[in-house]
Amino acid sequence: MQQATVDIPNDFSRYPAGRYISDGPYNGTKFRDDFLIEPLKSHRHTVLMFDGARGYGSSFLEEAFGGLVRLGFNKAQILETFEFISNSDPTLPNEIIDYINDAEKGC
Amino acid sequence: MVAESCQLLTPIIVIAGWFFVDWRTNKRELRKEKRALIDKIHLDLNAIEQKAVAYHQSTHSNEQLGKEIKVLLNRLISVLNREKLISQDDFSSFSNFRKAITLNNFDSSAFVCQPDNSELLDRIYAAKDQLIHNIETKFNTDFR
Repeated sequence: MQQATVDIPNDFSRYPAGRYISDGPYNGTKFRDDFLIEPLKSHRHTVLMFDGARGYGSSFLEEAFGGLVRLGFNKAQILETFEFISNSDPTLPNEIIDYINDAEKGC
Repeated sequence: MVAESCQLLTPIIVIAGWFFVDWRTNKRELRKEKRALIDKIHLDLNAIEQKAVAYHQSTHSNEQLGKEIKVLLNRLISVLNREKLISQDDFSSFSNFRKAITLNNFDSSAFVCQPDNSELLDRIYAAKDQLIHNIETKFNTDFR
């Protein structure tokens, strides 16, 4: 399996915000479409680095990761593909996994 | 023989006593530092709560205030984590606080001004109280 790294503040934005395209330029839908779907389809292990952004809104995280489940990917695929690195905010990985679980339950 | 043992015992007791007093003093000072830090965290949490309520009760989505809230939340978790003011088992209480503020009606083009009796605002108050409770519980456990 190939490996890639996405440094979110540098490769995407230091100010990720919102769920949908209409919410702003660096929303969860855009992040999911630009950075998450392709690695899942090509089974490329990808390290997601969260440190350095000026905070993440839950709506952004839910849309990006819970949205993957709504698009048909399952939890096992997502967790096999992505590794979450967040040293300054160690609560982020579990919060993301909660959104994936909730989306699988259809919450 | 007994006299020699007594002569040896005295300095051992003095040194052990000194270590004990030093340990107690350090612990007391550490407790004071942590208490001052937690008191500051209370103020920070109150400020975030007030800004969050102001954000959700604005007449329109206030992008600048939204950014400020996320920055403050980011700083808060950095301090809580670095200073070990919250146990890893209770990390979810911070996540719940962030979720209560930023999961719904936040950074959204479909923003709706929340009334005073809004469920969303109630969740913010409750999540903040739970986070404070967990921080205080950890402090009491560490410095009982």
